[in-house]
Amino acid sequence: MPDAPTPDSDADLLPRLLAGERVAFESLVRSYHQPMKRVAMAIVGEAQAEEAVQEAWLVAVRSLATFEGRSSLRTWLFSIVANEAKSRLRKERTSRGRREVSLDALPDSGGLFDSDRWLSDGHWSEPPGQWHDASPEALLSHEEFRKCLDKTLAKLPDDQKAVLTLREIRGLELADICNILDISASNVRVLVHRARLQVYAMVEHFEETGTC
Amino acid sequence: MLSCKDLVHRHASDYLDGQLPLRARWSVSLHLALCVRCRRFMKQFRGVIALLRDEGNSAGVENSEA
Repeated sequence: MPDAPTPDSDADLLPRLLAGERVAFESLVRSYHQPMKRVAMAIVGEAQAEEAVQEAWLVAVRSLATFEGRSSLRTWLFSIVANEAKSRLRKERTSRGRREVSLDALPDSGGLFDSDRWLSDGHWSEPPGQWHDASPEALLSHEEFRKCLDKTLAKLPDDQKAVLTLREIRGLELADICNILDISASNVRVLVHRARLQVYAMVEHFEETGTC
Repeated sequence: MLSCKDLVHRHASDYLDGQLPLRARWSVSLHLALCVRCRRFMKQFRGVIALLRDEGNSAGVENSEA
């Protein structure tokens, strides 16, 4: 796990939380508040993320007695905040009639989806070139590249952004993402793949031009 | 045989994530053994995934320092 908090273990924390121990709750909040906020941001955007997390903490406190330990505390908390964020997103979409992103929709054009990249028989027409800075460390050390990456991640469709954040940036397993976002495993895999291809296209362009 | 386009558009992530059934996995492995262009793509694609995970790690450091 890339950034999994290392709080007291669930087994240690749970009885103390159920007993209403304030220090245990503070430890839980310190460990999970920021990760939960990142999950909320991935779903509903930065403006509403903090409110979603605060609401999620209230739900978590009210529901703690019913937590059965079938998942880890982390997955349970992520599910609660994801539900809260999704609920806010639904309200926002209803109020402004936002277009739903469908898995059946054709992927965005550009990058590897450009028809110019492929011959009619499915072979490469424009194969990938050699990359100069191939290592993640080298790329992430370029300030300009980091801006391009942030911009690309911000522009991803909501579903792709949420899944990519949970998978790559939070380091969750596919099964946990299915539970948290309430979508099927095959949909998660498609969304992860499309999001990765969008990032690949940006990296490829950056390698060729030094710009987004 | 699997086309380069199918490998890139449909199978690359599942292959790297170990999510492909045996037959499809062999099909991708065979294609990669024969196609230098797709081998280059897969190497770069793997690098992009590593990059996203590195980005996650650095975000985690920022969080813990916040």
